[in-house]
Amino acid sequence: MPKTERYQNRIELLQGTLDLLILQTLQWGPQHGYGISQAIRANSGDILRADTGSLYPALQRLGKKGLVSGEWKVSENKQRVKIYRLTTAGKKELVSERSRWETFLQAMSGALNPKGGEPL
Amino acid sequence: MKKPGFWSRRRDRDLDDEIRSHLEMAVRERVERGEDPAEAANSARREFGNVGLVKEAAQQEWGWVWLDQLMQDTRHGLRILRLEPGFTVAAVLTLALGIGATSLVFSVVESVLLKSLPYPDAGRLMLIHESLPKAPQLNVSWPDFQDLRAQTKVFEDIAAFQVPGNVTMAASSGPKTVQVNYVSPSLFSMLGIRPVLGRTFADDEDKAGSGLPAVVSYRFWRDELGGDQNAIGRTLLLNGGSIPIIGILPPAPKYEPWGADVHFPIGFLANSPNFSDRGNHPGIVAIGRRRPGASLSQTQMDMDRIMNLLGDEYPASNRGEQVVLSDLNEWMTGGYRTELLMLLAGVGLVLLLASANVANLLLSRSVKRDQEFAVRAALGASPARIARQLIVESLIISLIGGAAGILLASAAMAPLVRLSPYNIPRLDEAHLDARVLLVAL
Repeated sequence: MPKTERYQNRIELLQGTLDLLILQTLQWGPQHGYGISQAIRANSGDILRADTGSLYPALQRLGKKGLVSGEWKVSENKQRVKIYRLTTAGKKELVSERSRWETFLQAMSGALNPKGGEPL
Repeated sequence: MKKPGFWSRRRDRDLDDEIRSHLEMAVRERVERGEDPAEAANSARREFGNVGLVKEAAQQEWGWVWLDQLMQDTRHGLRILRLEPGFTVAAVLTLALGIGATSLVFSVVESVLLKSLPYPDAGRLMLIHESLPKAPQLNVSWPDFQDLRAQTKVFEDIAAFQVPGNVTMAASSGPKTVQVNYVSPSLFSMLGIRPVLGRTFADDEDKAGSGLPAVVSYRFWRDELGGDQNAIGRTLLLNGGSIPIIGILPPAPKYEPWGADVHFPIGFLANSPNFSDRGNHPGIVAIGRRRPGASLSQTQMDMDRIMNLLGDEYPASNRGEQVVLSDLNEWMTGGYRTELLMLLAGVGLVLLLASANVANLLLSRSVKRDQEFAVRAALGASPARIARQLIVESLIISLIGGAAGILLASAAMAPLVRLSPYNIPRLDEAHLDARVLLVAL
């Protein structure tokens, strides 16, 4: 049975969506922080911005929860970069978060367009 | 800027590096797109935001989680308790009464039974009584006291006082009743009592005759003499006689003989018939201080030895007479020991009952809350989380109950001390202290 969790307040909602976006981005391959923020912006058609004040705390949080792991690598430019990857737990979490998100979207859609009511 | 619990310095450096590499990549990308390098640096930094704030936000992740949850649990717990005022009040009240009563009694026990007397080396102080076959506990007789004092090899010193009586003092406001006491001069030094003004009795003053000097208590000096710094040399008019004051004692507790207002040397009474008769026991309390290292049996044997000699020498009064020794500490509190301990046991039971009661209430409540737990579990709360939240609830109740109990106890303490019979020793020293709080919690 997929775990569902009720969002309790707005702050948690935002945290939850950013975490989901990060996990989703990493599904397509390991990435560093800068790359993740660029990907989220690009994939959302420049609508969703993961600002650094939220992104880096989120990465810490996900790391603590064991959903992502970070590794220091040396780039072609001889610079130290920290690359994040999804862990196995992270992959599972991504699946359940996505399904929860789908459920949420459906629920919202249903609530905003009640059947048998007057069209707004 | 406070760094939360598990943040390490290495993580700090790593984060610095990460942010730096982020900025460098951002700049490089802009330059590749054709921006001027200096411009790129500025706009990249601007887009990144305040580095310090970003670092702080990332660091905060490492302290907040458990604190956040704790705050949540506490808020939720308080809300739940407010929603059920009947239960909450009952639980808190029960605990408060149990804890309050226990801490009250424990404080009394602690100050009356457990603390030792405020005399130096109080453990070596012993009370000396005599006993005869027909009267198992007598105060010493005056001649016996003097012989014991002179001949003992085990006591450093033996001093005495007579149970206080009253005399009339002529004061400017009219006659007043004053409590007087007769003490042997070395009593003060044996108990470590040094006068705040003047001096105490010298050995040669300890005799019958005129010119009887007096030492007054601190309370008497403060209340009747107005704390006069020149009180030494002033005279008191007692029972028609004019008595010079030679010393003022320091503040003292109420038990014998320090409740008396005026003290005289006991030797003054030496020639009175009560005192000079060896067979008479006129209420003289004898206290001795054992030499360090002397055992109880040694002390008893020493006393027996002397009493045997006295028994031979004065068979009329002393045949078969023995000395009974008791520890001063125990003697002072012994009379009430059983009662106090029983009271403590009783109150302990009350506390147990109270706790059981509250546990019962909690249990019956949790049965009702089964549904709530099921819903929360379905919503994703782990059993640990739910358990933790229940613990927080119970803790809240305990803390409030405990605080209320302690308030109750401290409120009750003052009137209790006032109302109790005068002769429970040292009740006026009872107070709540940290140990009681620990026990209560």
